[in-house]
Amino acid sequence: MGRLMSLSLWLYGLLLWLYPADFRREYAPLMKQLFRDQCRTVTGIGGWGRLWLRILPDLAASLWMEQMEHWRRSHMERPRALIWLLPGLIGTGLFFFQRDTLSFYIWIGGIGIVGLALHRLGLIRAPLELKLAGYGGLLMLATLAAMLSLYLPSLGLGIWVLLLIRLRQIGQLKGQQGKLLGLVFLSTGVWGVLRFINVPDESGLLAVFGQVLFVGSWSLQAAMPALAGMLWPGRFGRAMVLPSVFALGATYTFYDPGYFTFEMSSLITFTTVLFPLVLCPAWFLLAREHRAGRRGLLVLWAVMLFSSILMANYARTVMLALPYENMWTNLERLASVVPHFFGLWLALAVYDRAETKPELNAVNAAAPVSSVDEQGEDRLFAH
Amino acid sequence: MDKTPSPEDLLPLTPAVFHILLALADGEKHGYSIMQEVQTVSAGQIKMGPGTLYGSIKRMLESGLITEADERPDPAMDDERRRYYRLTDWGRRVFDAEAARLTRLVTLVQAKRLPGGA
Repeated sequence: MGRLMSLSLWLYGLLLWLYPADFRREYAPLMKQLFRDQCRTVTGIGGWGRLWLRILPDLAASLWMEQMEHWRRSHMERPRALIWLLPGLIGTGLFFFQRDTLSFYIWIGGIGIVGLALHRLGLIRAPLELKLAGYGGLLMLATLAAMLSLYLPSLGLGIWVLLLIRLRQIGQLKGQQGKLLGLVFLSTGVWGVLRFINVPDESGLLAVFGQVLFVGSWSLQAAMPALAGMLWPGRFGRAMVLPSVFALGATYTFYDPGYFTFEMSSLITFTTVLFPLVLCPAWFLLAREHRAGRRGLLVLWAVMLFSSILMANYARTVMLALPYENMWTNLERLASVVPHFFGLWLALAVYDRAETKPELNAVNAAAPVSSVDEQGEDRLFAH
Repeated sequence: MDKTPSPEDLLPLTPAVFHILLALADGEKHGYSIMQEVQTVSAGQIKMGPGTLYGSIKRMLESGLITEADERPDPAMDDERRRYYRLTDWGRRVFDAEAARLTRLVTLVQAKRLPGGA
């Protein structure tokens, strides 16, 4: 056996390690044998060059196909690989969270968009929550484009119309889901009006329009943490969504409309975030007892959230010597958080899995921004 | 009610799969002889490497078009043991269906080329 042949065989054997393990186990010996047979027919240096020029594209094409097929089989139902990404995801999330709220929400949407793209490529079967985050992210991008294009009203309006055309499908959904989404957008409109009244210097229809659009996307994205609680079914999941509600309340309390910043270093913020976590066990017990039921829980959450906003407002006054915001502002903040409750309501409805309530079956099978048919395919953007 | 699969459900076959079935149509063969026959029959136009060949063989085994026969040396080559493959009945039916489809296509082409279309 010549040197070139030995080297070629060694190199080819090395390249075979790029194939998935199960394929390699079964077919690598056969592929090596076939390659060896081909090597025996080669004559001259040019012959070796021609052989490798045939082998390398063949290897690249078949390698890609086998890896894709292996990935689909391994990760379609359970995206185990995503677990390895969790530390990085959490780390980047914390980084963006401490930067500013806007970056954090963009991060959420970005993760969702990537997951949605992987789902569309058939590489993973994204859980419902990831798809929702993806749609929220797309909406967020569109909203940002609209905000940035406030100087180009036609572009902003065009994006809004495009969203409306798509979201019209949501409006056609029957039952609780349609009402839920209608109320979400209605509340964003209410928020926009309150903001227009309360901040007269921020005048101009386009500015308000942009704010309404922005809050619309926030309200949908705000439902994402709540719906993320679906990953943990049952009572523990209910308890998990509660901190997100209060954290969002704190976010709204502290965000600066001009810069959308969130003072992570502030002791007040720290306290406000800890506040719901301290109360979390109480809420957990309440959920377990099911005394208040779903409506009762929502009422209590509303009370707690508004209390959180008031407390944070008072703390700002004391700790940061900022002027106390009037009740009108506090009401405005509450109105801006109202959409979150509908997201929570949806999450609870799905939790309940009320087979005895037909309207909740529609909610169980669907999501705020997508409709999932029996095959689990997203129908909203289907053509 | 489950629908009985028909050979036409798998058509059209990819060139690689069809040529592998064609190579096995007249008897069992191992990988290298399949590759050689494909190259000969296609006049060098189809050159399958080990990756494409065994990737296709894997999928054809999974879909029941072919099956493994046994492992034995090829008397025409050396005494190294080689894995042989053969067509299954299902594979033969699919191959026949694809051959019929291609024949119809060739007939149509020939009809268009004749003067008067006859």
